[in-house]
Amino acid sequence: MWAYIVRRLLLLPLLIFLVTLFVFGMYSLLPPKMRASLYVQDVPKTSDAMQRIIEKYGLDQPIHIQYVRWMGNLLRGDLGWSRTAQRPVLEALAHYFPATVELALWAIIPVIFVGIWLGILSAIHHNRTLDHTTRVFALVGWSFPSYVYGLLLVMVFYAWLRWLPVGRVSDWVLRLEAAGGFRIYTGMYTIDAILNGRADVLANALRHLVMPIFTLAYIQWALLLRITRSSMLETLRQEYVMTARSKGLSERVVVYKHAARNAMIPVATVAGLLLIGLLNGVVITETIFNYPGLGRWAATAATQLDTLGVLGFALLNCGLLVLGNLFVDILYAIIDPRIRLE
Amino acid sequence: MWPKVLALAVMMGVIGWAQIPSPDTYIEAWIGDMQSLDPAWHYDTASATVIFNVYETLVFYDGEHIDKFVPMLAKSWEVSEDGRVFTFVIREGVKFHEGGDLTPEDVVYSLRRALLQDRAGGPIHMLLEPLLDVYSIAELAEKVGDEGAYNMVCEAVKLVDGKVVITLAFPFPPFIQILAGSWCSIIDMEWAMALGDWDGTANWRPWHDPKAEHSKLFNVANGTGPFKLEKWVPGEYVSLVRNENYWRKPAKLARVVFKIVPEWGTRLAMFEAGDADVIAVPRAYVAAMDPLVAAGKAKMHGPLPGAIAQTGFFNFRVVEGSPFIPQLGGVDKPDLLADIHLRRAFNYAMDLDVYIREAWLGEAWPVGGPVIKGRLGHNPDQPIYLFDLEKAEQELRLAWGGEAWKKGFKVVITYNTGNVMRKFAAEMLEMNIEYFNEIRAKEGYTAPIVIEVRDLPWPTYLAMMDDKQLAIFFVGWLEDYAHPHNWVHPYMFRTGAFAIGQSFSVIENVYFEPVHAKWLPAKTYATLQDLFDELVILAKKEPDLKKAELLYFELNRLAVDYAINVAHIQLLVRRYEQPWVQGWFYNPAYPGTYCYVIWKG
Repeated sequence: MWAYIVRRLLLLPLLIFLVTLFVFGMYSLLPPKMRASLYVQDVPKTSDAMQRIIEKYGLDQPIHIQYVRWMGNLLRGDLGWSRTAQRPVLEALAHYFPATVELALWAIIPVIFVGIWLGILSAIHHNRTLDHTTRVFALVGWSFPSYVYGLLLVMVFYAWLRWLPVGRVSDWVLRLEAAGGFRIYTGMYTIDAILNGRADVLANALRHLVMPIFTLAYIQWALLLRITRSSMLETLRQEYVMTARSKGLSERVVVYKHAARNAMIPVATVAGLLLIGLLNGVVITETIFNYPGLGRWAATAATQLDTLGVLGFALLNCGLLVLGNLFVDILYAIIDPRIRLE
Repeated sequence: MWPKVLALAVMMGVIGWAQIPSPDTYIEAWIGDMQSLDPAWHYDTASATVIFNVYETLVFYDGEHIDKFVPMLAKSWEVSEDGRVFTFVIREGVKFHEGGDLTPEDVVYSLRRALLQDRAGGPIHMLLEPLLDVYSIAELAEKVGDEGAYNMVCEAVKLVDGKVVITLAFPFPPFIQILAGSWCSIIDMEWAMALGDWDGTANWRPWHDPKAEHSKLFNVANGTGPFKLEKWVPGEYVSLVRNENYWRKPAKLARVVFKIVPEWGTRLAMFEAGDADVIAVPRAYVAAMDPLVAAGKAKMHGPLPGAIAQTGFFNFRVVEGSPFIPQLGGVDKPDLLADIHLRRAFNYAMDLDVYIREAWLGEAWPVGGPVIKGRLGHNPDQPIYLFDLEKAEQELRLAWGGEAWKKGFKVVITYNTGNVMRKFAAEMLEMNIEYFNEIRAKEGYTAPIVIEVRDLPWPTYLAMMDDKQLAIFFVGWLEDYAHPHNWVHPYMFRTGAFAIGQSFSVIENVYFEPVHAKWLPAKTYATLQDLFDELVILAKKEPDLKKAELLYFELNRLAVDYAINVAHIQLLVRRYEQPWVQGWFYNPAYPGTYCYVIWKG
């Protein structure tokens, strides 16, 4: 297994090289003036403005020269400046990633547990009212555009009922932070609140997370439900399950101890991929809830042709993808001892 | 009786106060972030809003007036008889936020630094034009060398007997407006130098035209204004706190927060929840605010005359190699739109009433010539082209000696992707001009008139406009300072933002006979561009307001007579705020909310 892990990790630099080459290649398709136009807010007010911008940012230099320079800087740990994040790319990643990780980690709990629970529930009540109700409930979430759904939540629970807020934390927390009364350790407010011993900040950060988590969870439940349900149905038809039942074991033990564990193999793959997806940032959810995470920034960087920002994001993504898939493979082997990683 | 009424009033007051969330904190929800805190670098509304609350200028607009000024960091000022020399006495006892004292040296340093920094695409061309008669410091340095340019800057802005003396290259009436702009904010010299900014010597190149992040003042601020910068978290928020040592009475608000909330629905929700005192409301969403206004849950100011216009531009000669070269009778004709009859036909075919009603919800008005209403030189009696298909047909029949009518032609109208208002205007022209194909067909002319409407992504659009590749294009202009020069320059001058892409020089041997500025001699100019240039320069240097006004009348008339644009309209604007926001007034020259005058109650 260790050889397998090392081999997979060795793939990472190659993958990064190919991805960065691809992103650079894409941007090189645009003529310098088009890229220069992104540096002016509006119509340039003087006749030489565009040419001066092209020269200043070296937009007319051959693509391979720009790429080699960027690679050289990368090896020195300098990913350049992100125009859209208004800070160095590395700093931007360090700023936005913890926010997204925080959201993803909190969201994955209900996504997986409720999703699996609904799937099992649906399978054991196969073709009965509970099965249909659960499936309809989950399918509504799957088919409803998250954009509309998220906005509905915002209007109802934030604007009208005023139960739940948007953003990451309230203004008073930011003031506390600005005044030095709250120290940032990880960039994740829920964790930092614990480290600072501030229950009020923890409660505030959690309140802000409720709506984005629910939105993300509701979208994903249908997927997990379907996979868990079909996997469970298949497992419940297996002979060893019938044997367990004929031995007089309770239905609860049969389902949760004997069937569920085997049914979890395909579910684990999907759950792992879901987590990777969430860690990449969720553009719509982050935008609607004004949650300043990686997804929102990456989308802005892409639409505004912030090359260095996009490259930084791509690098992080590559790493996450390789490590995430590796994690899923290992998980797979743990759940099913018959699988050997070679 | 009275004590009871008083008690009730007090109680209601208390209840009312209690309903106002964070009564001493003012929050605005913006769509996008600011670009820089460096006054000389920034050129966007968001940055300007923060800067003009944190920094101050020598003079400032008097309330809602755009042509009256009050001393700010200058205690007083004098202007020489020839209008070229401005002498400022600097206010004493003013402190920067970090404790430094304001001195005349700070003023001189700030203005010189701005002139020498002059970043590409930045605001300093406005200052360079009247002071040194150039549009970029690099352009000047090419002619006189770096040291020569530095010496000229020092001569233009200098300290004489403790007073700041600014000498213009020529009399330039709008100079005072330019000086009131946020790009002329005064910074603390010692503080800037300590940060590693320009050291005040002739070696200015290392600090010239920096990238945003390379400016030492990119994300720090130390002004004399009513608010101090507390924190800027890019992409999230900017917070300001009251300057308790302000040289005037401290602001009523203790804190100001500008939050970046790109999504409209979220901004609306923030407003409804009371978490934002003011939100940016795109025109397409004003209907969502109406019920709130009707229910007394929001206040609406407006529609107010905005310092912004939307216009269609004709390119008289599209450059070779462009994918949008017009055609006449199926053959490429780059100068198709050089024909005045064709341009007039387009103007008569534009139904401005419908365009304004449908695309702009009735909140715009047509303007005759570049200069908008409310500015010196706007002529309310200037005739404009009104929708008239008969006249459009007459003009079309005359275009290119009748060839356009007989052989047909093709032209592409472009707009930037996503701009539905510009799309509406373009499609209206398409529909109304192509309508003549039916009439032409009856006369046996089967080669069609084709008007193609194409959208282009903004970067492509801007780059192609700059390269003169677009035939007819729609763009907007937001005024930099409240003076007609800021309108005729971009619309008509050789190097103006739009004129540069319109090739007016194609029209040769232009006979000019003044209609308004009767003291001008009638004469023939080599090109239309030469005529425009001369009048623009004469108008900007004219110290006599009456004469200047007539010169601007003349420019507006020429713009209409030569039909250099189509569908030129001035937009009206609205502001929505919570019912408890008090003190706001409209000054179109302000980049955003001047929070010093705001309070909640």
